[in-house]
Amino acid sequence: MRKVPSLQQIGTTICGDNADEVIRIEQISHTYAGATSMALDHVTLNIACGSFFGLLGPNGAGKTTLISLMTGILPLQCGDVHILGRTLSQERDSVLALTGLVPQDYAFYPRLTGQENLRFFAGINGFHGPKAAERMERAIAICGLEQHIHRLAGAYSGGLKRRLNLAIGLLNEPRVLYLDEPTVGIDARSRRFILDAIKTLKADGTTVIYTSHYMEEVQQLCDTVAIIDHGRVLAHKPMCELLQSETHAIAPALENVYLQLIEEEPLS
Amino acid sequence: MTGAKLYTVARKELLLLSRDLHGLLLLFVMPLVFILVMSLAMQDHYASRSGAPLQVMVVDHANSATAAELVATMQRNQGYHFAVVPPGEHEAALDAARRGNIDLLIEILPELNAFAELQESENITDQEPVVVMKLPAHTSRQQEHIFAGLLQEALGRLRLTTLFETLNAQDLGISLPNEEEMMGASAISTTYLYGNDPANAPSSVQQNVPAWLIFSIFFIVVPLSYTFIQERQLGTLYRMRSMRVSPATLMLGKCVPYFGVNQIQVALMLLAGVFLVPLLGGDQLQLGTNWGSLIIMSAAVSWAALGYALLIAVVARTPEQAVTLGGMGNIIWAAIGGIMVPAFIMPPRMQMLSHLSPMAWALEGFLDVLLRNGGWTMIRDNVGLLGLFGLACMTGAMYVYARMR
Repeated sequence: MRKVPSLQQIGTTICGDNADEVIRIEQISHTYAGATSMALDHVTLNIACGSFFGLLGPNGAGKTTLISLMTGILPLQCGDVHILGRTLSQERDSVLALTGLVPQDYAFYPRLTGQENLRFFAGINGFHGPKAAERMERAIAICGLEQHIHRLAGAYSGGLKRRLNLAIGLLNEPRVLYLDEPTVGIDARSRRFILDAIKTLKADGTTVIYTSHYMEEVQQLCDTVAIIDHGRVLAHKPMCELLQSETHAIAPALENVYLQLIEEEPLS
Repeated sequence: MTGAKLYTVARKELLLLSRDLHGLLLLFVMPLVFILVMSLAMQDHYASRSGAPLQVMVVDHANSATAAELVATMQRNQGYHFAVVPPGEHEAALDAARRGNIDLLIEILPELNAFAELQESENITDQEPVVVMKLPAHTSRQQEHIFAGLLQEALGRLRLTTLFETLNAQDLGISLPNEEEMMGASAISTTYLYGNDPANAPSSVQQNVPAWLIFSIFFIVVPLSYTFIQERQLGTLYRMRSMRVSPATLMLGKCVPYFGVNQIQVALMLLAGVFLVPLLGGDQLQLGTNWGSLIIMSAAVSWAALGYALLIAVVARTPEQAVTLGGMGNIIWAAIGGIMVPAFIMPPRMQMLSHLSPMAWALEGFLDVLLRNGGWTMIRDNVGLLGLFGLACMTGAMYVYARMR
């Protein structure tokens, strides 16, 4: 495991006063303009501080819509999100300052170097000069980008691109990190590297909300899981409880539970 | 919106543009090539329009005082410059005409002397030619007919002079007019509708430098919209929204560096007109003295171009669409706006249509400043139109972007 300065070392308080419940999603519904059905239908979730939360569901289930609402990309239509005691609808900027997003796409500029990308997004987060350099150094160290940081990002391999994508999401040292399929389309070695980096964050007490189609990854990393489909929550349980419901297999697998729940849902 | 965020977005735009070779070629090299090529290619056309005399070579086979008088009579017309050569240089003169080095070649035949002395046949249809016109390929039918008219007038005048000399005015009991009165020299008054001085007609460089400069300013649509669409496709816009970047910061962060790029374009293209075009044999661009108006015009054109570029950037879905929509739009604005073909040579209906193009407002404003040394009162209408166009486009862009969110 790489040695990187922890959040405690740089003086960040990990949890708020309500340490048991870092995120509370209350009755969120969302309908896209022109759509006949709801993308999210009264979704309520509670996520504990410092936990690793898996958000699972088939394509089009509403995962990205939920993350977009929680990160302020989509406006709230109904319901609200509370993070560390702050309410998104009332304190949008201070809530979003606590969160980081690593989207599924390579959301950086291929014509800029890794360092220029990090400096740009650090500036967007409000960090300049020595503070930006400190944040960049930590993100580079966590993601192991030291050898590649001066190359154009467009020339990176798939694995390096994923690592840069993750590093950008860590620049504001978020208390809550949203990871949307962070290991999709990369080789086993790069995936291992990214998963190690994510474990480092967990050790630092960052709350991670994780979406992936790789069930073994989710089973390995997550403490709690929510499975959603057609905008509704089908299951929301600690991993161990969810796996207990899978009684037929010798080695209980999350994938079996997931498929069982999804298949019970009527096709839209 | 904070200044630091704005600076960060603007700096990123400049970095991206500095690595976009095609964008740089489009913004700086393309207009420079257009300015040089078009200024030099259309120099003669504009020169004739602004009063530069046509070059006429005269081969004098008559070698007489009458022939000299004929040339002297024609030389009173300032639209022509005459060079008389002896018959021995006839072939060289023909060669010069064939090469297009002169605009007209005339040969004065020995028969002119008898013609002037009124010794020819009484039947005018039997008249032998006394002057032969030889026309190079580039001389237009219009120029041919105008010069033939001048020649006929000069020949008629020769004979009229001979006639007056043979008449005894006192015997006739009338007072003969002097030469000026006879030709009615003061009977014509001229008004130049485009200014008080024919020198105010645009020269090739005065027309082409602002024209292609405006064209290049509007071409920021390509790199700007390309970057914006790429940001949308890559997901960086999505990411920036999660980082609380407001639409105003994003839009302004794009406008500020491109506004700077536009001002660099203006400075470089004007310098090319002043220093580079003359080096290649063209006229020198006259900048006038009204720097304030020049800066206002430059800013107004940039504002309009930025608005247009942002609108295309948010409306287009792919970079290909942006290049097609933005590039084609620019070419249409330029074609009807007098950039590619000067509006003053268009038929009246097309001239009316040209007033619909923001490039026409921009060109008119620049010509007011560079050609007529115009101040605020002269440019304010065009500045106002460009301002409104830019504002409408920006508003449209913000509206579409907000709906996109």
